[in-house]
Amino acid sequence: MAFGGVAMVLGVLLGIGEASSPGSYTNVQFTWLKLAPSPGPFPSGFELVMGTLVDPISALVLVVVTVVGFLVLLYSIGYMHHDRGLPRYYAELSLFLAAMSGLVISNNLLEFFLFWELVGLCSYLLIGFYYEKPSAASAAKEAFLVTRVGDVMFLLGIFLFFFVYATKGPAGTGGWAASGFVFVHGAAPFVPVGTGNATLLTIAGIMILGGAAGKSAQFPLHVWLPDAMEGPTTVSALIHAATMVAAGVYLLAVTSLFLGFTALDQTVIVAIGGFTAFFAATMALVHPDIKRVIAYSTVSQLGYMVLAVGAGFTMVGLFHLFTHAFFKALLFLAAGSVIHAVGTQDLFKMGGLRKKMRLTSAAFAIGGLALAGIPPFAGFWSKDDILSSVYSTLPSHPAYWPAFLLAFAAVFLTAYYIFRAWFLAFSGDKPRDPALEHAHEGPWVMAVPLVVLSAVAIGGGLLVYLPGFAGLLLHGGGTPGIPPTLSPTDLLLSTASVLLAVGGILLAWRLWGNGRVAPLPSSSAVRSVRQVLLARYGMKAAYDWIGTKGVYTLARGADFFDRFVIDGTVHGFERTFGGLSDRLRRIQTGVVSDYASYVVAGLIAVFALMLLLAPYLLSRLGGA
Amino acid sequence: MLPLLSLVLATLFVGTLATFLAGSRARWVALVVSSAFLAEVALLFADFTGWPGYSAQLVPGFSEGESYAWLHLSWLQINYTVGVDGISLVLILLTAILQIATVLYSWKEAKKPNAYFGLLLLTCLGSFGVFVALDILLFFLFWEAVLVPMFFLIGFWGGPRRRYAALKFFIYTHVASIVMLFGLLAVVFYSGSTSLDFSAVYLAARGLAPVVQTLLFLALFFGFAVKFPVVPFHTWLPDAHVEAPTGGSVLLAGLLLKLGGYGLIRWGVELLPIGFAHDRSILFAIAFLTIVWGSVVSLSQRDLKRLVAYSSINHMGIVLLAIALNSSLGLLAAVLLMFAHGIVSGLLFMTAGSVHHTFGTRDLPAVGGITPRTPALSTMVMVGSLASLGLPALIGFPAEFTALLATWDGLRYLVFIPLVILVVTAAFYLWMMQRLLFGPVRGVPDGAHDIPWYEGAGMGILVILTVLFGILPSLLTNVIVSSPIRGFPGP
Repeated sequence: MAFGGVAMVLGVLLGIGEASSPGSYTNVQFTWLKLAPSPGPFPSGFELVMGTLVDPISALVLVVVTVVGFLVLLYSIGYMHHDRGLPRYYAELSLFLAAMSGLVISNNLLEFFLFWELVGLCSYLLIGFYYEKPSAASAAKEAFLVTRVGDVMFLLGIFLFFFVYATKGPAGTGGWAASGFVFVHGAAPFVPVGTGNATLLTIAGIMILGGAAGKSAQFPLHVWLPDAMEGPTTVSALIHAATMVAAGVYLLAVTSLFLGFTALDQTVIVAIGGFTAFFAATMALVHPDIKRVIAYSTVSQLGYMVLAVGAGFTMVGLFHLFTHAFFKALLFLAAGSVIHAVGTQDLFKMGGLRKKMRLTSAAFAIGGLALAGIPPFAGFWSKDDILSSVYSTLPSHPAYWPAFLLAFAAVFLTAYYIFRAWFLAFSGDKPRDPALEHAHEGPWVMAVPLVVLSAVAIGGGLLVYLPGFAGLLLHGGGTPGIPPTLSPTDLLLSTASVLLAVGGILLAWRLWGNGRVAPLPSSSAVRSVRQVLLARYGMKAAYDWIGTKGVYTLARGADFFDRFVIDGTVHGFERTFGGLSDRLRRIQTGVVSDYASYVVAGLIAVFALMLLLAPYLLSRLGGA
Repeated sequence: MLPLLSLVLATLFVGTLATFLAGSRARWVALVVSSAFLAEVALLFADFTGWPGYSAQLVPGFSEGESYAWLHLSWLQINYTVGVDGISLVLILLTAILQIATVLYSWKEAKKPNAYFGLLLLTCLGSFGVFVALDILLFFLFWEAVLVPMFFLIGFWGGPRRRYAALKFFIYTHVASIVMLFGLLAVVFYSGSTSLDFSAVYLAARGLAPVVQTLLFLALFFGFAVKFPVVPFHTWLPDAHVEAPTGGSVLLAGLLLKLGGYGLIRWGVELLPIGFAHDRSILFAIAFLTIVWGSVVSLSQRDLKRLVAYSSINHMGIVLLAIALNSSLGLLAAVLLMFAHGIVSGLLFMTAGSVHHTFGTRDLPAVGGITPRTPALSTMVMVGSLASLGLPALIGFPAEFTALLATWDGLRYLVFIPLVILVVTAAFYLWMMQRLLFGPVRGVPDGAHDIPWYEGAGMGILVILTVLFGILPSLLTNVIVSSPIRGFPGP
């Protein structure tokens, strides 16, 4: 706790420092693994290092990590006080914060990967915090495995980049072999896109995208994040909303700044981001679980960030990462406050909580408004910036159109699903489940984070007009989309998106406002759509099938082969060669000295044979 | 300069004898011997002339070289020749670590403790000898000397099917040894060398015709491959592990499998580089088959030890792949992987043994949710599993990373095979942890309590090293790469 506080102070100081004078921090590094010059693939040897790099974007994300981290630790005191295993909880959370900070200030891709896996480990441990629950244990495993699929692609991406740069480094620098694969702030991407090994770079970019998709739960690797809600809500807020899942976006940002994506990569990234933004939002429309609605929303919002980074607006994506981290953590902590009070996550049991929990209700509403993109809340500025930035590229990149349209449509869905959740939980006279009558607010340690996060969710978007803060986002130079421009087209676009969002809120109010529960739609088509959405488009079932029926059956088959075919052959030989087993059984007297004498006799026989044979061989082969 | 290697051999030899004779105090003798061994290995590191800047080397290319005439016939010189380079030094360190960890772990062994500890020490003595011997006969002597104590460890202290497992182990590896021996002798005689010394044979073997080299290499490869083991010569390993006592399992996985890899590097690749490089497709095919097979079969295992045994096969497949790449990076990766696997599989077999002691079974469906009852043991299982599946900051990662990087370098997109298998490896470990550690408590006897201190101490050593070398792999790699890379065609 105290350490978390110190870390936050240091993190914020570092952020302010970097904002005021970029590049003022001393970066350190040490050798991790070194291959001296030698014959083979790397004639000049190479050196892999671990080191730090503080630059504007790492400072920005570090501020997010440490501030949200501290607030979640504070909140945990109230939220977790009745749980067992608290030392484990705080240890794992602290390890997570350390690893996440390490990830943010890594100065090379390999080190990035190292911390990347460590935050994944913490996520695994914390999702499975209630490990006695089979569903939690299973969700933890699922999260690890699905992100592992992405990690494997990430690793291949590292190899590809390493290969391209180790053999084709910039002239005069000795290439990567000497530079140790290190990012340098302010340097241009190492090989300008298009002049290097274009095919390899494209594949490398796609592989990096795969890694990011695993961590940031992008289609088709998104399945783990909703299930990750098995962990404590504090963990969902910190790891699965604000920080770790944003690491994928951060990876894309770092890659685009230091290594560069090809045009084809960008098209794919944009498509994945835009599609995920819409696709995840559809699943949030119908879910009855308050945490999972927010989880799908996280997937969808991460899609927006991926879209922005893919389209070349790295800083716009990071701006959304910044605002999203705060308002999404706010939503989760508010949801946690509700869950803490009522002991269920089922929206249909709640209702009327506005009167019992005024602060929580207001906090959730602020978070919802920020998420829906209503001005002047934080989410409006960053989400709108993404939409208008991407819109500005459409004339030159017609391939971005579908992604843009999907992301635009998702604005409506977003506003609808988050206010559906708000109305279901807070509006009306009293809870639908009478057992929840005595709900009340949590202690002050839970209230303070809600207030602080609410403040950022209201005003955080305007920070972009603050010179110092904008300095971070400008990354020491002109960055497209920062600060948001206000041309007539943009204003038109903003107005349209705000109107869409308001429409979504109104629809939610029409269906669920004042404690109403909308009846199930009568049309069978709508009903079956709802079923498909609740079944998550069947993707989880399909993955499960591949795991249990496909791979596991194969494994059983291979095991059978080992036991009966290979060993069967061996035993067949044994029988064929004169009942070896019989004779062996007879000499198995069980007396150690007997065995010893057999073995020694065998050894002597071998040596004798060897010595006898040698002269003969020599005489035959003397001339050779 | 002290004859350090002979001193270590003498220590281990006398120590083994003393342990056999010590009766009920055998464990103390074994502990003292292990500590002395570890201290001497530290001296070896301090005295290692392979560091840049040293040049005093009696045996060319090797540090700590000693060579005495042993048996000089008119047509053949057999010497007592020993020496180390970076590769063997790292594996010697592994031997010393595993020895002391195993002795500690087995502290309360009740069944004939003097014989048990003596055989443990004898196994380590043999392994040490294999790593330092630079004479074919001496090498073979130690090579066989490892089999004997392991045979007894399995056959006397083992589980219900110990007879079958011990004999299977012995016959498989013995057949392979004989093929290997004839291969080595054929190299000597075909090349016309009049000495069995590594250096002499090495020089003489340069003159062999490529086709002869290829055939001889294949014979040697078969000999080492069974020890590795590679598919399809691997079925002795799961049986041996399942039946072996814990200490035996640890040394079997941690040391004996490394003998195959070390032998292939020292006496195969370095001796017959042309034959090795001539056609590596068969090596690649076997390596990939082993990687895939070991991992996939692990997925279907119910017995914890069998699961770890198959995962060992998978890892040794990666070692073979790294060696077959024929590059300095590949060799670095192979040795690092062997060290990492030695530590991690040792840890995992210890945890499997503790699970068996504590709950009376290793059958995964039968026991589960053990974390609340045995938190320390659960932590060990988790660290071991995570290290084995290649989690960064633990020792498995730098090894696998370099191996995969080398594979990309040598084979390009074929690296997809081991990469995809990484997911399967993660899957079976995670599934195992889910079944064994998490979920509702089941199959836990009332009297079950957490691991005793000595088991914890044995595992603790390995856990600490797993983390240490995971964060600072350069401590090891600097030693490994200080060896002159023999046998590579060169630039």
